[in-house]
Amino acid sequence: MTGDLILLIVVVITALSFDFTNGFHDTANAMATSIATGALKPKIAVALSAVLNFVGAFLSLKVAATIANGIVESGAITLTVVFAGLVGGLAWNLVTWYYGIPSSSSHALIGGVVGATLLASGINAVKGEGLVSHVIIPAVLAPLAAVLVATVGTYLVYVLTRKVDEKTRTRGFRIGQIGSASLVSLAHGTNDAQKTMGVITLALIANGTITQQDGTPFWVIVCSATAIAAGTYVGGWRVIRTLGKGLTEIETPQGFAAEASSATVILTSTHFGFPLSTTQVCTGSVIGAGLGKRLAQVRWGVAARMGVAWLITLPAAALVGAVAFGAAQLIGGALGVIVVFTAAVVFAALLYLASRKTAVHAGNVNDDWVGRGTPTQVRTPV
Amino acid sequence: MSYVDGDALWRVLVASLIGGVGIAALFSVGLIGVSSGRVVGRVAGGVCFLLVVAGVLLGVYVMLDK
Repeated sequence: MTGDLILLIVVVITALSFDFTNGFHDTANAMATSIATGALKPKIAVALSAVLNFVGAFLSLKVAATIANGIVESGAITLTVVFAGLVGGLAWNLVTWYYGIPSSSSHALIGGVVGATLLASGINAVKGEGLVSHVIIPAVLAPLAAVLVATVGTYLVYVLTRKVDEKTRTRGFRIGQIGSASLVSLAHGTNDAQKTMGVITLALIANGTITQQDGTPFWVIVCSATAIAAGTYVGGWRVIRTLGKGLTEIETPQGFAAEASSATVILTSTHFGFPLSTTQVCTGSVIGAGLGKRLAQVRWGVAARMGVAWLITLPAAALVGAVAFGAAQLIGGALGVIVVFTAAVVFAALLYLASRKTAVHAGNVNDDWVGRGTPTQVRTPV
Repeated sequence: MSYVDGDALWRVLVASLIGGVGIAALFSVGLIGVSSGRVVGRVAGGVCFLLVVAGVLLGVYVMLDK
């Protein structure tokens, strides 16, 4: 087996791992409110979302074989840069999952690639204008647009249905919430699984395994769809808890308005070619759902924590991407990439073990919010 | 040098507001209709729900058309 082939295999495995974390990190986007309001049982919600993500991955197959397109010079993208960028995105996804913070996987991946490119090719290979227009401005606008739509939507929902009997209202909005959450899941599969398909296709082209004209191999489509669906089914319960219980206490009318807002903002932004982060849109919608209901409380401390995480996503992922690239280059060849990959696996395993101490799962994800992402550890008096 | 496509942004904001708020309002009016107990109310409610379903189908079309 040649060094190039080993490098390609490691890149593909890393890309699929990133796809998996993308899935479990973003389950919350579609299903957190449905779980919080009891519209769906937790396990049913993640299973439904997983199936829809899988289906969504096959809906549109116009895969762009790019990574950080318009942000870094395409000539600077090598297999090692792609690998280091994926490690940067992966690390940020895992850290934010551990702390239960919804965060954009796309921005994390871009950050990782930017960091690796900076070290590989210097500052001239990074397009500052692209970074501002593709990442920074959308990161500010996405939650604001969603807050606006969800606030008005929630207010109207409560005003219009104030005379509808409680049983009909709750049942009706539960059904509506399941429908709108399903649409968000489908859109997520369409957008995010294709991102991984694009990265793997790019790696295959760079290695000379396929040509630009060959298109994305079917096995890449199936593997990417399976990875994101598996990640979604595992369920990032820590993030689901923060989005469903931490930002505000959600009732079914609010959940419906939030999901309708998320689906509409995501799909209109896709249609008009102004892509916005699904995570930031969904978080904005939940905040809007809190603001739109009279006397509802938004926990601004939790929202501020997310805001800070979004601010440092790019530099933090870039730092890890740069370190991963530097380490791989220092050791050199396929061995360098294998060593960095092993270090990433050890880091993920340690984080997983640490998370077991304060585990959040389907059984306690809806416990009362006590000021932090993990539920209260109730101890039996001795 | 323009950092943001103002035209696309404006369209996204207006379409999101109309679509998101519109679907929430239509669904709510649908619930009012079906809970009214009158035939005309149920029919009007049914029409509202059909419009919501049409909105969902439009969303799926946008995904396919991407």
